[in-house]
Amino acid sequence: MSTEAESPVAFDVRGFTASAARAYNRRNTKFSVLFIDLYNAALAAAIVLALSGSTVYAVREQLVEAAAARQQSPVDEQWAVIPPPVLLAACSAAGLLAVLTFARRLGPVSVGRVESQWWLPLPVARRPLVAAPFTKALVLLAIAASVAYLPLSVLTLLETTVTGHVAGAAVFGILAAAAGLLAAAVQVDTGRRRRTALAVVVLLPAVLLPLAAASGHLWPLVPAMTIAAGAWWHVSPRLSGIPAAELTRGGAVTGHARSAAFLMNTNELVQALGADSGAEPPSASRYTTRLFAARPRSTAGALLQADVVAFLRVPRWWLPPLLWLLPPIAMLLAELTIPTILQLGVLLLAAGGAASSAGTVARQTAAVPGLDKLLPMGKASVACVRMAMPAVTLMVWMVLLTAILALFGIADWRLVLLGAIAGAGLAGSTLRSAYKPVPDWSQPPVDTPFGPVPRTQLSALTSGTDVLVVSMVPLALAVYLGQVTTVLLAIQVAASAAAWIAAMVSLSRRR
Amino acid sequence: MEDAGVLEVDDLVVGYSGTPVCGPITAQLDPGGILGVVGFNGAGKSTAARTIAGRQPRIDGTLRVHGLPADEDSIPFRRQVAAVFDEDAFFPSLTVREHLLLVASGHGIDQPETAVGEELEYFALDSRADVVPGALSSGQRRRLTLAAGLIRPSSLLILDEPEQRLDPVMRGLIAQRLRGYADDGGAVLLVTHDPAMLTSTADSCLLIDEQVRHLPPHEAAKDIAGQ
Repeated sequence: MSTEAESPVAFDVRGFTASAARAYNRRNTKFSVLFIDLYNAALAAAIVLALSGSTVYAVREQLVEAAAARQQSPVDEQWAVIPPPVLLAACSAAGLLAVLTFARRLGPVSVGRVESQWWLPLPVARRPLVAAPFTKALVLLAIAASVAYLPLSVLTLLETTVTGHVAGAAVFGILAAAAGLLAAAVQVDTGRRRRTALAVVVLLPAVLLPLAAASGHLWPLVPAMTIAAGAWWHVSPRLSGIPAAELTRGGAVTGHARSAAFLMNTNELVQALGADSGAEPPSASRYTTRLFAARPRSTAGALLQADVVAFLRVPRWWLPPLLWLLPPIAMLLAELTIPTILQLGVLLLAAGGAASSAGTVARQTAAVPGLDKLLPMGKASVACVRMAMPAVTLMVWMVLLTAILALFGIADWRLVLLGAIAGAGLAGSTLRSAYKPVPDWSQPPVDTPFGPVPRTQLSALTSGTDVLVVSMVPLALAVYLGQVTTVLLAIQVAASAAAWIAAMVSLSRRR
Repeated sequence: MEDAGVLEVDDLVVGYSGTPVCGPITAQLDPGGILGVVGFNGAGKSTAARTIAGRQPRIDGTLRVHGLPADEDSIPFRRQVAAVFDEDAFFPSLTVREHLLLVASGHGIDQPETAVGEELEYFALDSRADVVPGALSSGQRRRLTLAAGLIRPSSLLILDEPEQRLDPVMRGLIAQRLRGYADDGGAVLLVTHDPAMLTSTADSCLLIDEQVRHLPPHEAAKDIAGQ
């Protein structure tokens, strides 16, 4: 093979594509349309900023008042109370680990479907093709992370100045970019487990840096930038070596996630973000194989058996529900007197997350309608069986959560019983959400207080969430009141039964 | 570059995630040769073509292009091997002409505009050269992807069912072009369901069925017609 054959062609593929696209867009975009688009985008951004800013400010005022009134945390065990800086550091760590995990799933270095067809087969160096979009993504990630950090900082560090909050947010943004770069380091190297562990070891102590910056120091910028620069120094020369198959995989996941987010299809979004990055295939352990080999006594038993085996074969199925236990516990143990509405919101969010993470198999079966018709069973019976495994998981999840709440004196131990019943009801949310209707974008929109919303999109958005709220209201009331009454228990039974019925109706209506 | 043996395949088994789809395949393709690949749907023809194009790992056997392993990440391999699969993705803001210019320039062709003009004329896309692919018909988009595969220099051309979505006249032109490519010293791996295209172009043929057999193209064409 000659040297010429081995050397890349010196042609700026990216520059050519960008300039041709720019010229086409200039020719075909009217100034008035561009102006309206920009105006709408600026208006939307201003509204979101104003709403979220005023909410944060209002919550902060309540926290300040509660602190001034020396209100105590509802937790009896004062040794377990989490001071605000520790809570912020824990949130930061969770955020950085989330960036590391999801960035790896999305690539983070990737090319889209079009680029993989037209760019990757060319005998040109690949580094310029991927470096620029990756850098742009890192900058956007840093900005988004800083913006997301700011309200957390404002709500937890009540004594800090505005400059301190901004400095902390800036340092966190740099760390988020570093997490993206460390995800790329995992992508470019072999020995992924070791690299991931190293990335975690580097990132976790760094969560203290934004706190130091918030207290008025500038030096935290230096180690944060050093981590980011070190990761860039490692990744940058290796960008050319990422296999085309891996670039295309990342691009496919990113495209899937982006279109799901655009269409507000949460099931698809969860599916896209849950996509395995190739590191670990679904496991068919000896245990699940033996379980599947056991002869069921009935048709429903066969379906249940298949569901249980499929569920247990989901890689690390136990991890997301465990992680979703942390936000309500952290909020409960926080030294700050967090407003009740926010507490209940976090409780609902965590329950929704746990219910969704128990729905992997339900989402898979919902995507293949023929599966539900394989066995001679009515749709309602199929729905009941499909809810069994999520119900068991969510009952265990709720028992754990409510036991911790009871342990810290939020309510008496009957809360655990209430939680178990609520957990069973949450399975209805899992199934209803998995089997939610596909949005029909051809239908005209309906007016709502938030502007026109496509007609079927409303039902797609609320399907599952409605049942979640119904299942959680009695439990939330018990947490709010700090006691569990017989009436509440009875209401909880009714609410959970209603959730199951709603899920059965959802599945029965599907063709 | 060695003259003999553009493509050497020995007991090649292809598939996904370690599960074989077809094989073992043994074949050799020399400069000027056109090897047809036929078989029923799902037999693994496209999987074999993608593996030979270096787009997915082989499961077993030997696969060499010009004596080197098939690897789409290697620049020498990308210079030598042109592959056209049934992919239908285009830049939404690049015109037909600009798509071809991108490929021609990316392969270091000296006068890309001239080469693009010739291909546009050959594939009857000259009247649509300055529109974006989104404004083309399905068959015209297929012609664009074929033009992109043929505008660039290569020594091995892999085509996966190029007849799809094309009218009979264009199918004839493609067959003629493939013959010309081979006469100029190129080698072609042609996966097809079209008996006429097979018999008018291929020198030899692989029938991928329950087992892989070498057949003369006219016998393989009868087999396809029977399917």
